[in-house]
Amino acid sequence: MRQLLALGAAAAMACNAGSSETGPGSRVVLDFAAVLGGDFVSVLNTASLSITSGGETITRSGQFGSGDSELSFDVVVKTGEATFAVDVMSTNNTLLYHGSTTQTIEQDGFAVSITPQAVTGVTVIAPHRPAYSVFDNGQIRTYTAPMRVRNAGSASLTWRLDSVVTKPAGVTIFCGDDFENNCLLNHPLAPGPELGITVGFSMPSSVIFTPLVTLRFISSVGNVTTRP
Amino acid sequence: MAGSVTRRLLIAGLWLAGACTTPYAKLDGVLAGVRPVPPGQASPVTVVHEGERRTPPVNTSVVKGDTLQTGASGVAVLTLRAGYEVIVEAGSDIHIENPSIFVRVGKLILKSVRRVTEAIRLNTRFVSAGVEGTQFVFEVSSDDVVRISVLQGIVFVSPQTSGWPRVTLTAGQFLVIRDGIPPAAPQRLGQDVTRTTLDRMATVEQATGYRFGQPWSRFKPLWQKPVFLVPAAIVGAATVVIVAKSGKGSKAGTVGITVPF
Repeated sequence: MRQLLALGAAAAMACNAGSSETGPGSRVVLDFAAVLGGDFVSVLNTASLSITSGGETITRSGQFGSGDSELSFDVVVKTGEATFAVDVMSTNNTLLYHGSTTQTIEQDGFAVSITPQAVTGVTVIAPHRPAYSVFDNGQIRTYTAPMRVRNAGSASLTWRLDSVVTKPAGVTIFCGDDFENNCLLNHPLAPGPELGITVGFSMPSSVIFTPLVTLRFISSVGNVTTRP
Repeated sequence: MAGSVTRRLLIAGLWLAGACTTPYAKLDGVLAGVRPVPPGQASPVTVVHEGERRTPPVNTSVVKGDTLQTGASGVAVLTLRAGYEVIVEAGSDIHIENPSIFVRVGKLILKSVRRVTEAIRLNTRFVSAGVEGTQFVFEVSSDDVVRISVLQGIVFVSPQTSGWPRVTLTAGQFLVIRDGIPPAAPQRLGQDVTRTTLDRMATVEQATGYRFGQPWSRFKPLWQKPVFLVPAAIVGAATVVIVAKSGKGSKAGTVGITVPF
């Protein structure tokens, strides 16, 4: 089922790629949050929209919510030709996406859709809330959660899981990827398929701890935090 | 550049709109004695407009706030927009208080000349006379004695301040009020007075060439006249062109941003 959803999403992406010239009234909104059930977090932070028409430029900005990949602006534009340009910035203010389109605005109720293109790497983490499994052999208790990391951008990035987590003494955090690399250390990640990782905590069985903590992934294009 | 032109057009439009103000009355005749004033000769009729004294020619508009004075031999004929012909006899001094006229001194002969569109009042220091569709004479002496003679219709006479009840005058009656003192009962108007007044009206109308109905065309609102329509059309067309060129006019819509994860 998940593969079917992913296939559908990929097909939708393929259809939508480079469709920034879509005309008024043919707005296509593909909300990946809906496709994935909103089950991801990313480095998307803000979008800046500039509209140039009639020799004037106005700028609007908006903020992506956690797990959002879509923003919508209600705007008033002078009739005639107008150019819409958008920059999407990351949590550390890196330019992630840029896109623009020029359209002729003639009537109220117009709808302009912009699908910006990535200009660098984009860190995406799933799920937004890790689901931990617990194993306790009477001496050591271990919580583990499978997660996925993906670079949705167009250039390589580096990333790691921040080891600094609020936890009691005796609790150790660990992170390993499918290739048994320690992902508490920086690793490069090229654009492409997602990388499976396992995040966990281990501790003596006598320590009282539940992993309801926020995990922070540190990447070269910004930080991503999961929900506890 | 476009903004400057647009501003000028707007100013021109406002000027044109301001010019649409409908006058209270038209000066439709000026006599010196019983003859029209020859060209080049000083007019015996003066209008004080916004503090400036003028001797206006025939067809001049008279507006609210104006004062009209007739000299010792001057007679003015006004056509009120409300539908009255007013003969302002020599030695009169009136002030336009739209929709009323304040008579400081002098003699006015009023006659409704078409369907009256609004009632008017003639006021003095002590008396107020309400008139609607009638024919009567209103005289105020220099010592504030008011005499009202009704030839046709009805005139209601009231004190400016309370002191006596309203008096209703009907055709063939006259009333004299001295210094605002409660007047005696209306008296019968003599046939000779009626005849003299009608003759006087006919004489003035003939001398001034006053023709009923004709003056009303001059009360057509300015916006219906070519003097307004032509420049207004030019201003309107120019405005449309400028607005179209500058692309003014805004439209509301939505811009959606979808990040392709």
